[in-house]
Amino acid sequence: MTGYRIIALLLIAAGLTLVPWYALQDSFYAFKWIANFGGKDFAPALIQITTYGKVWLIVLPALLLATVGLYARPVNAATAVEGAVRSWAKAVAFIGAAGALYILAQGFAISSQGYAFESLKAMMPEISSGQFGMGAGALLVGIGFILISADGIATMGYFRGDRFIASALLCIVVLIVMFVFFPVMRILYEGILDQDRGWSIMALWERFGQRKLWNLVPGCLWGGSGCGVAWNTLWLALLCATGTTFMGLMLALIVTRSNFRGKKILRLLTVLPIITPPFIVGLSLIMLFGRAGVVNQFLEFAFGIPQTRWIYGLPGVLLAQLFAFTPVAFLVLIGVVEGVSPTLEEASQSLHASKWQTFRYVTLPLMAPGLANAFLVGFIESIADFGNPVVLGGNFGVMATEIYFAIVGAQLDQGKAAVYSLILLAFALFAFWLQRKATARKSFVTVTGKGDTGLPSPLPDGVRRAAIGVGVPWLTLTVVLYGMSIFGAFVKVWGRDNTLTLDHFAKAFSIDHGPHGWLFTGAAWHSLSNTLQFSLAAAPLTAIIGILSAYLIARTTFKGQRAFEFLTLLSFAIPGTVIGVAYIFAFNVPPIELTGTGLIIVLCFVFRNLPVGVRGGIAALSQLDKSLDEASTTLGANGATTFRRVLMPLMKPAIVGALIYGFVRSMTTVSAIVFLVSGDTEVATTYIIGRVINGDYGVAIAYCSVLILIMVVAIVLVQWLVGSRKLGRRGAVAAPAIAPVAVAG
Amino acid sequence: MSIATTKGTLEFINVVKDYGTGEPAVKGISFRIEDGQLVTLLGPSGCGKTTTLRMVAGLELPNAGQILLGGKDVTAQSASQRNVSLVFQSYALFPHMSVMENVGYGPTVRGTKKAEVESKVNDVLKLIGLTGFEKRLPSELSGGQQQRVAIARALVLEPAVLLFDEPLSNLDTKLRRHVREEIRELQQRLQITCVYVTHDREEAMAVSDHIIVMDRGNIAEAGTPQQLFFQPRTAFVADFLSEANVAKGHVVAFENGKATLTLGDSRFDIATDSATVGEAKIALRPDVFEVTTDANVSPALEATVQKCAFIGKGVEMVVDTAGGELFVFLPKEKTVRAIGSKVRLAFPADEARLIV
Repeated sequence: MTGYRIIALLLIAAGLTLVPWYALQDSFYAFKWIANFGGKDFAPALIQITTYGKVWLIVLPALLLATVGLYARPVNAATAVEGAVRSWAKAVAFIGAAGALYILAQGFAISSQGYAFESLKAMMPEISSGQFGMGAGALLVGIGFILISADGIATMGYFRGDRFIASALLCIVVLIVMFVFFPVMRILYEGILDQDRGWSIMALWERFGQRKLWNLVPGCLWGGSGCGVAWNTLWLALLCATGTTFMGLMLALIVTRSNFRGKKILRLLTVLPIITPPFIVGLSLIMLFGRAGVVNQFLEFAFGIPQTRWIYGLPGVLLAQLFAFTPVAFLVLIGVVEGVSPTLEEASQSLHASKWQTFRYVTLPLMAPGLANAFLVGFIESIADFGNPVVLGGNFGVMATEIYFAIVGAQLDQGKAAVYSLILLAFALFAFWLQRKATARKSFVTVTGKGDTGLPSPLPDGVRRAAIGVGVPWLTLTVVLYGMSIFGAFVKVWGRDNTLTLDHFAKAFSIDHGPHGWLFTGAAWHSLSNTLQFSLAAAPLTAIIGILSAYLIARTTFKGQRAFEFLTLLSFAIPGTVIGVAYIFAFNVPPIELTGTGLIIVLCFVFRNLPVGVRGGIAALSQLDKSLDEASTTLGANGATTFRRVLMPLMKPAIVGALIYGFVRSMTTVSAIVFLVSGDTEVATTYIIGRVINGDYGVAIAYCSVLILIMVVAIVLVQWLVGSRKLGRRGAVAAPAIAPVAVAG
Repeated sequence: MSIATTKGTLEFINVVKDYGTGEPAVKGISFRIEDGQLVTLLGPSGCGKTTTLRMVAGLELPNAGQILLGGKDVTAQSASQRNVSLVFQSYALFPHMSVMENVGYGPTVRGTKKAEVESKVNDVLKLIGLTGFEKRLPSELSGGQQQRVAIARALVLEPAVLLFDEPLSNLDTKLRRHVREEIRELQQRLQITCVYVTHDREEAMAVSDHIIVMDRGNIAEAGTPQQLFFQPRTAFVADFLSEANVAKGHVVAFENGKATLTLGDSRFDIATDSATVGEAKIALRPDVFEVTTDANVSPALEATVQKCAFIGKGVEMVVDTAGGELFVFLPKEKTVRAIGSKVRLAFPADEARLIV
């Protein structure tokens, strides 16, 4: 028997006999279950069956024995009759799948009060007790059965008989279905339930047709009020996408096509959206334009203009989103502008076209798919945005914030949250689908290997003036905003009492020396350490699953590969608030009961950041020639060996990138986890949001600046530690293969 | 190091490969390669030669047919199970591994002990003349050296068949002749079965015992370089291997392995094992002609010059004749003839071939 099969069997055996089958009240790592081994809540499955009446679990050891039986009598391909190997493998695959599915099925069928469905009660034998959420034992047994199923599938001849590929694919699909697909489906289910938790399509229809959502009165989009939340969201997203695409294009043109001196600083800006906590732009805008803001105070002081509240509402949210998301569009469009072949522009000019004509009829059309992409990315970012509307929205409600208030507000209306989430999800998926179409269409931008010589033609004067005219003020304001936010952390009460102080930092991060040694007495330490722990736990998981998925997408072929790719990238399109709502609906009740734990936050981070890891991995793999894999294969290596010895070392930059971005994005996530944190698992962003809602801006900003600092240090440190050490000696020949991966965007 | 003479006989029986893109890439080919031979798959791009090679390696699995290696059916075996090594066009050297690690990769992943791997690698590097380069990374080697590392890496597993996928295409012209001589010399020394893919006919003829010419997924013809060059049986091979002209003539009689042909005014006999009386295609290589002033020389063709160019080693002409338009290379000529001028071109009767 091979090592693979032994591991799978041992996992199941250990899961059934050694570790607790059900989820524990406190952490698994508290190891109370060892002291109480065999107790009602702590017992492994076998004892649960024999002692505590959980007879339905008997199926699992039975399936284990069946697997052992099959493995003990493998079919010898050389001597067996035709088709014997295949039917043996089929049996293995079937038993594995049956085991994994049975675990889920019994979990859903039997809740804490016995059978979960009336119909089951009638059909099935009576049971003495119910059960709680599944725990470590169920996890191990589940993995074991999935591995066995993958073994069977590979032996049947799929995936070129490679067990590594089969098991990796199966595991990832199961994970994505459990933690992306299933929660989203739960929202739909929740939307159909009426007040008495009975099924009702009418309830769904009523919630869907609310006036609050779709109301449209004349002029409400232009500064008036009374628009439905759905219209608000769409209108804001449209404005934001147009604005960020325009600004992004102008900045990209400055950087790539002009001799403007601030080019280097502009490039640095591309890092900003990645390391900016979600409220910082909003908070800075309040400090600048808010009631007590610098501009208002100056206007009142100098001209006697009364202070206004215009910043709270659509203008403020839009402004904040423009500042927050323009760097994203900029990043996308730099690549697009650089991809336009200078030769084509030279050809145009040699045919007597003016600079403007060349720009208008050659350059711009060539960039069209890229512009469409940037627009849709801006659109998706805007409708998913939660941080800016919650800080600046005032009475201007968007879907993301309405969902939040439906859950945490006084009303607690799960049905409303569900339906709003569904609509928001529909918007996002539609935009995502359009974006995929825009980028999948045969790109005009041709990057051939051939040396495309020639100089990019200079911009027409008008365009250049517009670009500089837009870019320079934008750059200045950005610098002012960020500078302000840092400055704000050192001021007592912004706008009222401008004395410099370190109070905010002291309040958040003080350390005292008490009789029992050093004490972290600052209010923020708890959430900060949580944030770091969760992010550090999520980053490697994101990297592993992301890179493995990328390998499966880019380097293997199987039926349904396109669907698999779509599944891995899907969570990019799901707005954070929707994921958050989905997770509470899905994981608040058995069989998978995770709310209130740190695990649910880590899982949320992993599956939200997965698309970044996947795309980074695909980009890195496309730089590695396929013949490297083939060389490894012809030399006798299987999929796992090739992945570990050839691809992994060459993808090191991509892996480091996935690690960094997994970490950094986790630290700045707010919308997805705002519902998932408990007192114990509070994280930095949710702590900050609490301070913002209380109007305690000083501490919030002080905390934000500390977060930025940590992220910058992390990025620099990781780059320095792993980034370029072993790769340094390679010369020009290998250089293209290890070119850094475009990480964001 | 000595590579034991394994049974390197390779046989394809009605092998089909269809990617489902309309036309099959390989349309049911059969051939047999004897142990210790170097056989080239030759043909224009898209003819299925690389697909065939990849099926030998196990990187592609055929849709139908059988592949036998050393008499055993290996059709369903994956690449990592087959006792076959491939030298890639791009070499596919692992850029993060030293020469030692690259060459030792095969034995290592097959579980050979470290000391044994090293001694094997040292033997192969000695054989290939790269001793002293063990610690280098591929990027620190010249193109020719990288090529040799790729060959060493393939050889170290002592494969039954060694495959080359256009091994010279990444080398500059000067190196090509040298490397191809090296490959041939190594193959002869080790007596190892080799399958070699190229689209360069000169390269193919220089290295091969046998050539299999492929055309649009089928085998057009197979044979020794001399057979294919001097006695092609198809218009495709005549054109592809020797740029031969296909002239229109007639077979007037055929008996006892001798056919009587007419081409223009000339009437001549050639030896052939089959012919049908009537219109016929006659292959004539460009270099078989000679200008003659003697009206009695036969066979010969009256020709009108259409194009004429001096190319240093001789004169190239396109001429119009009774057999159709012909391309002619005259190594002894020194002057360019005027367009429209008449010339009489003689050729030896035994250089004419009947083709289909």
